[in-house]
Amino acid sequence: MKKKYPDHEDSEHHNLQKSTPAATFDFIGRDMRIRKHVIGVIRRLYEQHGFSPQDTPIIENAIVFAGHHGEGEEILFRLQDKHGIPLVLRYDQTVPLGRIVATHADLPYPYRRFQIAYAFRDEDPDGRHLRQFIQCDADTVGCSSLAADAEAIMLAYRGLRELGFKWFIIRINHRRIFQAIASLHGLNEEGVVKGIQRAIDKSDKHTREGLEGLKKDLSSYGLSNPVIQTIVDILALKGNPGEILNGIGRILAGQVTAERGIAEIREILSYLPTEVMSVIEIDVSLSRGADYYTGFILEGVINEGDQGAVLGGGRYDNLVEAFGAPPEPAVGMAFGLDRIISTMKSLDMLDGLEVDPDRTLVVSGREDSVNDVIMIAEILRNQLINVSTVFASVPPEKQAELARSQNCTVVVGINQGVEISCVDGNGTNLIELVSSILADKTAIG
Amino acid sequence: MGKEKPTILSGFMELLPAEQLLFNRMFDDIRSIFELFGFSPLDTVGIERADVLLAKGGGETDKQVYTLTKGDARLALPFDLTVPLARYVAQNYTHLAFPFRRYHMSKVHRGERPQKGRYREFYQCDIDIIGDGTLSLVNDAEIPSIIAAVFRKLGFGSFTIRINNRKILNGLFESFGIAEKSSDVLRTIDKLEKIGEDNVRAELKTLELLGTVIDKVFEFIAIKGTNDKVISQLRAMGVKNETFTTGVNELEKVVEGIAKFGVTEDNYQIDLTIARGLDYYTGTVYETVLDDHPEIGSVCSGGRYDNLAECYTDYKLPGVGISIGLTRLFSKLLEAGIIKPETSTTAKVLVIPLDGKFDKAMEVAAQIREAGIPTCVYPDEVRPSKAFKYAHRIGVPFTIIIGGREAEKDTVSLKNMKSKVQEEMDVATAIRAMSA
Repeated sequence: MKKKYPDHEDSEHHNLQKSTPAATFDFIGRDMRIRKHVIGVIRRLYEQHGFSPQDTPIIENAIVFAGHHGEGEEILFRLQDKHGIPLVLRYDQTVPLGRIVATHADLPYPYRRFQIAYAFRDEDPDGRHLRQFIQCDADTVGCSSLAADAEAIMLAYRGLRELGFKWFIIRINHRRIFQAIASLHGLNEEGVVKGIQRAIDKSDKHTREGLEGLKKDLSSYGLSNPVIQTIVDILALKGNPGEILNGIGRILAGQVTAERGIAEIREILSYLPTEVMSVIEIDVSLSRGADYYTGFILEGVINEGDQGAVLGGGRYDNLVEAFGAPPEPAVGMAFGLDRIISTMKSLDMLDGLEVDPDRTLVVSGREDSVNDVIMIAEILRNQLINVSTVFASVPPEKQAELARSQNCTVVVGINQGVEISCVDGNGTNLIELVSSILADKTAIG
Repeated sequence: MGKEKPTILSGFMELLPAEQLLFNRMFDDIRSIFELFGFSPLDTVGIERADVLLAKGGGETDKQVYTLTKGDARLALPFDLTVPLARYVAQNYTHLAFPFRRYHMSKVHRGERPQKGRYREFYQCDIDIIGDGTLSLVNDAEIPSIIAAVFRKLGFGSFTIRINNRKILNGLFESFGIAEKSSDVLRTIDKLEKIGEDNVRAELKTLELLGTVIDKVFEFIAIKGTNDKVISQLRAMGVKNETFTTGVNELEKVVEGIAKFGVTEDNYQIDLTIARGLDYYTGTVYETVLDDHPEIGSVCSGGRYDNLAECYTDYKLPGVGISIGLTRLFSKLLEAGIIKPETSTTAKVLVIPLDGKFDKAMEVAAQIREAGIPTCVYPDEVRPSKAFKYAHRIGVPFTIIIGGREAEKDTVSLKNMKSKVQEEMDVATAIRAMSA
């Protein structure tokens, strides 16, 4: 027998308190509309820049993601199909882009696409990393011009501005500088360069102890003292981007790779308007996790960056080639939707945020006023007002709850087509509208 | 690194931009109607606990679920949006206001054997109205008005919403004394359109139905006519069964209600043959067909169920809902030529820098975007002919050339790609020309 008001503790049913996997979340109502709003801003930005939409499967052949993310591969979600073929959940949007370009010989180049979609990573759910999150990527494939790199920075800048962030920094680095640091100390194997990259990526770059703290941290990742000293010397450089690039050039003097990296950054920066230059910071401690980056890399942080990076990207000229196709240079960037929203939340930017729809009107009525509910709903919808209908009488004390849950400005209750009650002060105009509709009807009827 | 070219898995749809733009337009159109009818957007987690997803159990579904073998091994991918809804409502029961109206548009996964027209990953677009304890039949009557609004917005020509009530079928079978076989019989009747009357009769025989009963079943499904006529013919059958009578009464009430919601009778019709395969529908059921393309089958289906979340909670949560299988619908529409991709970009103009005038090109592009015109900069130094070819490929209606001369004179060379007319002018004039 079903009980009317069950006590969950005695219930034979699941304990649903923990029924979603750790570090994953359901979204509903206003939370969902905030997500749609932020996605909308980013999508419009990408469309304004002429990027076209792309979607890829959530499940990919495991081989697609093999060899692109270093240690990241340990947190791939793995599964199998019926034939035992190893599969993975999409870890990012960039690697599938490489697969698309490698398997479609007839794409128009440059291939400029954006993809706003979930990625899945089996992260240790420590509260900082989600296991399911939305990435908003825009990439240009088949273009070696550094103007495309500059556009990636422009997208980052305009996106953060249009989302309403006031204080942010876009950090820039170049993968060749890591090579040059290694090479300066006679270390040239790819593994060593990756090790330096990884140590810098993992280490706490902005500790309270400053550079001393970083030194300790870097040595704990197995870097030798001379290498650490070079890194620390570069990080100690002060000044505007041009001055810092000069300083790096001095410290890494004679290293051809460094000269190339620095020259590329200079060219990229030369395409940027002054307003964008004002948020640019050259940061040699910036590494980015992915293995596939080959050139300039970027990252965006809000204020002091307490929330971590809200965007990242860079140039990756070898990814397509890795899929067995002719090489295609590529560059791109991505906003992390969940990071952006949590940052907006921490800055109290969500409370007054206008989302679409800004209101949903709930019209409710007992069964004997169904005709009125239908008529009012239809007239309002014709004016493109979103209307939810409730075909049951909602007691006054429940109307406020209904209004809150539907994120609406007013609840109109109709009884026999005459009485109207409203539960939110903001809804005054709608109440008048509904009243006038009813008055007209009464006049005709 | 592997040098072999990996491909996508079979049974997965991946679109290139021209088709993706079409797909997104349909997706956005459907969403706007769901919003217009005041449904709240819901997005549940993309990976669920396997024991939660499979709580109901049921051989076929269990076999189709993708479970994750690494990491947390107790996770699985949702195979529909109804089970996650049931889980969500049960979990958040105390915080929700009922009737709870939500829409959910998301990918789901089923590891079935891929065959033509079947996808292992596909979008579902669902709406449901969930009541607490009870839910008025008026909601069943409202659903067709939402279906109608969606398909009017999508604009694939005329359509018919077919309506039935499972209680009529179940009651009829009870009265024949074949209640225990009702789901098998329903499944067989469901195939009528696909395999024809003779085959359905043969299959019903294998279910050990008496010839007289089979005749009666066919007499029943032969009932046709206007909605009023069907109701009166059902009553005239004189079936002495409470479930049957309730079903006819419900159907009558729903059909009357649909008219009040402004759906005209040429858009809906009682069809006693539709049952919807799923066992969980208990009352009203819907299917929708495009009148000019019946071969596509039902493009939007659903129905009423008595108890959404019985696996998760003791609260009785009746509901009514519909689902559009957008991936399948899209591929069928494309195949039938009902929709056609036009352009592969939303950009209105491609700015082509010549003579290394990248910074000027980017500056002009920024000005044009400021006027609300989506603008793409060709990010490489190329011959104009190559850039024009590219403009044709992506289907952008205008191009702007900025070379040394234009940069010096602070002008642009605007070309209408259709008329092929190219003129030099200032940026403001170009913006006006493109906005016209």
